[in-house]
Amino acid sequence: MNKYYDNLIERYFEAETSELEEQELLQFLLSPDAEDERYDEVRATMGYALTARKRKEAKAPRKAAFSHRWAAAACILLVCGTGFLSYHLYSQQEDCVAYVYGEKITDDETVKNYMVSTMSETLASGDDDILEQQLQDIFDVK
Amino acid sequence: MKRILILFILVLGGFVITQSSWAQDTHLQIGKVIQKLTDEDNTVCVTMKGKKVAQYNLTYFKSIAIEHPNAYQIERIEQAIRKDASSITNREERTSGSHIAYGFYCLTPNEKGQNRYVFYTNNSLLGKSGYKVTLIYLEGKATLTELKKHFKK
Repeated sequence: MNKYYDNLIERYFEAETSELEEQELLQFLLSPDAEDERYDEVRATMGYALTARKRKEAKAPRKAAFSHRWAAAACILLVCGTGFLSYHLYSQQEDCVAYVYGEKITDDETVKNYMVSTMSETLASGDDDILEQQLQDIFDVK
Repeated sequence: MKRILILFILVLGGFVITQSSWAQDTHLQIGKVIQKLTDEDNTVCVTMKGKKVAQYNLTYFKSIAIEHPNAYQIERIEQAIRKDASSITNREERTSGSHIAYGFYCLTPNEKGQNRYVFYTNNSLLGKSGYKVTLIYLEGKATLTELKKHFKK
């Protein structure tokens, strides 16, 4: 029986044992059959390895939670930023504005007057007789 | 993590959609050239939309009038009209040499099914007084008859 475990110990130090075999070896080392002091070294090594593994597993979830929180915060910031930028851009698109020689005018009546005079002058252009007929054909669309 | 990624994609998509819906005329070269020339000191640029132009049966009006335009400004406008030619479904145009004296264009309707028009005139090539070019872009359900009723002197 001990030959089996001696062989297992040898394979453990060669890093050839599976997790199941390590568990089996650990059970043996904790039992009365392994009280011999020649098993002290492997007992100490396995104890250290187990402690290190448990500490690593304890750290990992905290790290994952931490990065998820940062990702969530980044998304919230992105949503707020997008909303603010969209509102800002939308508000810049005014309903009624004129730029007259570089000067901005937002008075509705003044802007409307510019619009009316521009349209009037433009529609008065061209060869009226031909224009009348041809535009009638083109633009009487519903 | 997957949910966060999906949320990010939704937000980005929403942003793209909202931006494209406000782009109105900027996808046309005409719209871009008007934007470009707005700040120059010999131009009068007018933008009106929504309720402000509803009385004319329009939804959008944008124009630029340039007094004593330089060759660059005229070339930019004429180039823009030529580049948007693929959207023109009908036109009335008179040229003088290689330049457009006046042009009245009907474009393909927008995504809302509204008519789109472009008007362009160059006074000096029409034998009229003053040296001025005017470019107008309209969207709406108005017909020519309605426009003339509202605007022609």
